[in-house]
Amino acid sequence: MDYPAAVLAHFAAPRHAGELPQGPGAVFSGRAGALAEGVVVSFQLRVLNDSIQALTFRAYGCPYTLAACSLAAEGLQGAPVALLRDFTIGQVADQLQVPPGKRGALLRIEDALRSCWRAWDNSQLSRSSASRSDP
Amino acid sequence: MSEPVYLDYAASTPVDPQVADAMDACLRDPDAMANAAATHWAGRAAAARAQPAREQVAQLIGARAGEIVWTSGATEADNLALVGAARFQQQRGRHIITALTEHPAILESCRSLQAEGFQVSYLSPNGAGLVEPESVAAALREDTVLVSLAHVNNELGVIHDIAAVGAICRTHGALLHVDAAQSAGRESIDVKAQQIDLLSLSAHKMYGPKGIGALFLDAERCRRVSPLLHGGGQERGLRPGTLPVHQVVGMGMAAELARARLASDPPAILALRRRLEAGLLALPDVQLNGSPEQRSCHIVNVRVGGVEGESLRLGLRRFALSSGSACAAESGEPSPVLRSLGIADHLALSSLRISLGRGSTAAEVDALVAAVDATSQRLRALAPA
Repeated sequence: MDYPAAVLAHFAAPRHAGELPQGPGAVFSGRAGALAEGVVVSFQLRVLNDSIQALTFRAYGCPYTLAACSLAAEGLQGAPVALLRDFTIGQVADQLQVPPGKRGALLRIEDALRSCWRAWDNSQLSRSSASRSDP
Repeated sequence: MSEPVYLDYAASTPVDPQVADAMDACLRDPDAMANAAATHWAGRAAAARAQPAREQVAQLIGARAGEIVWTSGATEADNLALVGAARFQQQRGRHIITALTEHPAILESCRSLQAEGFQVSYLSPNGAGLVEPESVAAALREDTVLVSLAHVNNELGVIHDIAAVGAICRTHGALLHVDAAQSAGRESIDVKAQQIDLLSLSAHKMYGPKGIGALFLDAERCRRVSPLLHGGGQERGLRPGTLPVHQVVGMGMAAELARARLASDPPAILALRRRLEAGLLALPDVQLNGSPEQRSCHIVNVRVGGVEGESLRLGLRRFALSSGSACAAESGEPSPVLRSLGIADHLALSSLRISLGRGSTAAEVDALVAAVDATSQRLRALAPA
């Protein structure tokens, strides 16, 4: 199978893969997919003042999935964390010229990022309810 | 990308230079240009040119020249054997036995026979990928007319005990067809001793040209099958069409060379296969698919755990190897052969079929082992825990 040059480049040298670097802020994570589906994606992010200080990924999947995680992770560095709630992978998929048959697996990237957002959002809720219950 | 390495000899082999020379000489020879079915002097000259090839192919499998019918390849030979024999024998019965691990040429022929009302039993292999002779015996029915089993499985490389199956079929009265595309020139074949009634061969799997194959039909047991193609009376009326003399000459030469090298080629390739297996199986989470012992010299099939198959193959892209039958490679589905062994889909998809041949070297084998190690380590490091 021939892959677009951008996919080969991200596959050969994925950006923001692996461990989250040390730094200030709270850490959140999200995961989606299953071995049986052929795709498992997880993200970790560090949030300070509602913005993403750092975001890294780990992935088990086809070259398009790995490249899309890498490109998405690159684009989300420094973004407001609220962006993750409605993040869609379409633009990344277009940029990487992902063929239609391979786009389904990429939805797990959206799911994992949304799961990160949910973890962050839950922390906000518990913080605000904790502050409301303060005397 | 570093230098490309070809490790897919089970899918096709390069044409031996002596074969190419023989074909070239034939194509340039004005005495070989005519239609071999023509009765004039030129036709007889072309037929005479083709005749030794029938003998050469017959000798490779212990048959007689008159028992060889030329086809376009093993796929056509398989179709002619199964569909042709089943249709011809249908007054005796309409039940056929084959295995889930067979090549698509067999399985799809069986499916087309089912559409005609034949019944087919698809036998499951044991955990080692082998169909045991006892399970063939147990599946035989009064109306069984044909059993079809590959000598060497094209994905796993496992070798079936054809002589034992042959004896069982002979006692019962059912015909035995054997797809020998992978075993010809690698394993010794004696159709009479192994009691094989029909046997398919492909030239390009044994360093001959593509586009030519042969079907052996035992003269006493299975002289006739219903032809699939209709036309002139060539090949005893079993396979009409003008004889491609240069192709036939090429297959004959390939068969003669294979026979001459039967004592030297397989042991040399087996030594490389053992080196490859030792290297691969020493890597973390790499396991052999199929029997470790009862296997042909040229095929290794391993599953690599913890990595996704497509990414693994991209990491190994300088090596021409496959994940299953090349004839089913485009589907992206897990190999039905590996599935029939009970291997999980994600592991079937991260399995590699590596096949060695005359041109393979120890350096190539070592390079593949190193590349599988590096790629699998890199992909596992990327994967979530």
